[in-house]
Amino acid sequence: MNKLLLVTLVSTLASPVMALATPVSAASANQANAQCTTLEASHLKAQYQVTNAKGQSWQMTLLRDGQDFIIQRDNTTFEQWAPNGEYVRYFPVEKRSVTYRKGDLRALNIQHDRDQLYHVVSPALPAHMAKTELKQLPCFAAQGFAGKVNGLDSQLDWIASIELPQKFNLGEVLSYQLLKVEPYSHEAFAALTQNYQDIDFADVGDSESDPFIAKMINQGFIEHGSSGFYNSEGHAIEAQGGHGSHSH
Amino acid sequence: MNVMNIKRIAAAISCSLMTVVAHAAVLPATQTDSQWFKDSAANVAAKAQVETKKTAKNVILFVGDGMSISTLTAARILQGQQQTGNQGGEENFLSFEQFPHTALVKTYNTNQQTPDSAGTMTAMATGVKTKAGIISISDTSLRGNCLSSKGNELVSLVDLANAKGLSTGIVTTARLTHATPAAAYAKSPERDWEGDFNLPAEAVANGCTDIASQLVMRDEANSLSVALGGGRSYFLPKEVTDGENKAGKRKDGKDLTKAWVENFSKAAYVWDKKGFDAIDVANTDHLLGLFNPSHMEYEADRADDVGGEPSLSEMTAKSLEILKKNDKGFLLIVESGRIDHGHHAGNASRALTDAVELSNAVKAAVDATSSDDTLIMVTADHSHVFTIAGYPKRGNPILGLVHDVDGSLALANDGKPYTTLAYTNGPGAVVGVRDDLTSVDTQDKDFMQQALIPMESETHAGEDISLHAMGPGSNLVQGVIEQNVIFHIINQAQQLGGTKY
Repeated sequence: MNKLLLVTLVSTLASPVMALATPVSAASANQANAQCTTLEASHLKAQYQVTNAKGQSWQMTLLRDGQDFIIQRDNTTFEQWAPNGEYVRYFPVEKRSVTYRKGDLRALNIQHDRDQLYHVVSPALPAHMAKTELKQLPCFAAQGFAGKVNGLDSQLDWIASIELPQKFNLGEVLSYQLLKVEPYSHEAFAALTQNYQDIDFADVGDSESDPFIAKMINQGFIEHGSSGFYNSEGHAIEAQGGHGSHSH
Repeated sequence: MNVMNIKRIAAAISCSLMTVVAHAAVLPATQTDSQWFKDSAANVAAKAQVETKKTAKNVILFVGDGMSISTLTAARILQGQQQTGNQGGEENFLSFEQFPHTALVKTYNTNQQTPDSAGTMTAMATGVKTKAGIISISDTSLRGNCLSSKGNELVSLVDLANAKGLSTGIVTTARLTHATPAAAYAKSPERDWEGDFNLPAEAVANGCTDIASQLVMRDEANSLSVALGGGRSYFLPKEVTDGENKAGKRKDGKDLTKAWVENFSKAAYVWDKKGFDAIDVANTDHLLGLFNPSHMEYEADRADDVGGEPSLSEMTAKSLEILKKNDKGFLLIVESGRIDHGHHAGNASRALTDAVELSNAVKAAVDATSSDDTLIMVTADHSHVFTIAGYPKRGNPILGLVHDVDGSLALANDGKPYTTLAYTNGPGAVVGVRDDLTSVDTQDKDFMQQALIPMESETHAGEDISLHAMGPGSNLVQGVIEQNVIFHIINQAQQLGGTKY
C-alpha cells in the first residue's frame, strides 16, 4: 500500500474497529467479538492474500462505496470500477489517472465480469457448488462450498452477509484468503481519488508527447483492464473475446 | 474574323468530329453497351457542364478527424454493403465523394512529418502551418510556453467571419475543447490546456487562458452562434455534478454554461437529447450544447448514452437552422472527432461507423442548403495507418476475413486466415504466434483488427488526405495542395478579407 493511501485510510476511519476474518482462539474470539461491528456490504475495505501455484503471494485490497469499487494489487496503481461502466486506473505517485469509458473498453474489446470483481469471486459460485460445513468466525459465519470451478476441484468459504469469500481455492493454482475487513466511509473512498490529473484513454493516442503517458506506456501500465481472474503466475487471464496472442 | 480563319476553324471542327466518329467506330458493342461505359461517359459529360460560381455566401467545412483515404474506401464499402440490393458495396459513394472538385492535401506540421490535429487544424483555420500541439499560434512559439505565444496569435476563419457579420458555428463529436474544434476559435500554445485546471503556473502568470473559457468568454460580436459537442466537465466547476452524475473539473469555480446564457443574447444551453430537441430555433441565437462530460459517444454506442445524445447529422441540421437566420451568411465547421479514436483503439468498425455518419451529416447539409450560395468542403486533418489488403472477392464483407474470388478462405503463410482491414501498428499487434481467426466474428463491432507493430495506441500516418468540394469557389479545390491552402480557398470564396483578395 502506498503511503498516501495508508495515511488517508487511517485518518478517515471513524473508529479503529476491525473485523477479524480468520479463525481465532476462544479468548481472542471473545475479545474480537467485542470489537465486531456491523459491516455494510456496500461500504467496506477487504484485504486478501492471494497465492499462486508457485507459492508466490501478494496482497489485494477491495474498497467498496455503494456500487463503486476500487481494487489495489500493488503500490504502483489502483483501479476504480464506477457504476456507469467507467474504469479508471490511478497512479498515486504521479497523481495521474487514465479513464476508460464504456465506449473505450468496447472499442478495445475489453470485457470484464463486474460482479466477479465486486465480490472477488463470482457470486454465482455458491449456487454451482455443494454446501459443506458452516464455519463460525469471530465476526461472521462463513458457509463452506466445494465443487468444480473451471474444471478444477475448488473450495469456497462464503460470507453471505458481506457477499465476499473468506477463503477460495481454485484447485491448487490460485487461492484467496481474507485477512481483514473493516468499514470504509464514502468520504474516505472519495478522498482516495481526489486531485488526480485525469486523461481519457481515447486521448492517449494524441498525447504521445506527454512524458507521463510515454513512461506509462513503456512500462506497460496503460493497458486493458483485467478479466478479474488471475492465472497461476498471478497474471490477468485474458478477457473473454480478446485475442490471446495480441499485445495490449 | 477573316475567311482563312473561318476555314481553319471549320476544318478543325470537321477533323474533331471525324476523330470522335472514328474513335467511336473502333469500340466494340461489348464495350459501349457496358453499363460501366455508359455510366462513366455520362459522368464525364456531366462534368463538362459544371459551372462554378466564385463567391459563396455560406461555407461549411467538414473535418473527419483521422479520416484517411483508406477510411473513405472502407466506409463507402461498409455503407454500400448495408444497402438493400447492393452489388457488393464497392460501387457505393459516400455523399461527398460525388462532389465535383477534389484535391489531395499534404498534412505535415512544421516540426513533424506525421502530424497531429492541433497543427493541421491550425493550418486549415488560419492559413499558416505550425507545430504539433499548438492551437492557432504561429510556429515561432514554443509548445506549452505561454510567454512565447504572446504576439504570435493567429486570426482564424471564425474571427474573420464574425468580423464580417456572419454567423459562426462549431460542431463536433469530440470535446468542444479538443484540438480540432479548438483551433477554429481559440489560441493556445498547448492543446492540453482545455480547462483552467490544465494551466501551469507559467501560463497563468503570463495571462494565457484555458480553451473552454475562450469559447465562452468572448464579446458578443465575436461569439459563436452555435457550439455543439462534448466536454461538459471542462465547463463546470468541480463542485457541480451534471445530469449524468459526473462532477465538473474546473477549479476556478466558474460555471461557463451559465456564463454562456448570461453573456449572449437569446442564448440557450442544453446537455441532453431531450433539451436539444426542444430548442426553439426562432428564439435562439446562441446555442451551447454539451452532451457528454468528455467526448461524445461513438456513433455505434450512441444509443447507450445515459442522457441521450444527438447524432452528428442532427447537430448539423439544427446548427444550420440557427445559422441560416443571418441574411449575411454563415461559416460552420463540423468535426467528426471519433473516427480518430476508433482507429487509435485499433477498432475499424467504430471508426468506419463514425465515417458513415459524417457522410450522413454532409448529406443533411447538402439538403439544407443551396449549391448556388453555399460552399461545402469535406476533408480530414490527417491519416491513420489503416490498410485494405489481400485479394478479397467482390462483395466480401469489408470487416470480414478475406475470401478469394472462388469463395475459399484465403490463408496466410502461417496457414491462418486474415482480415481485409488491418493496422500497421497499435493495440491489436501480434506478438509471437498470430491468433487463428477462423472461428472469430471479425465483423463484430468490438473486434480489434490485427496489427504489425505493438503500440498501446495506433498512430496517425503521414500520407496525404483528400479534400472534396461543391458550391461557389469549389473550383479552387484541385491538385495536390498544402493543408493551409484550405484557409485561403474559404477566405477567397467567402471574401472574408483576410488578405488582399
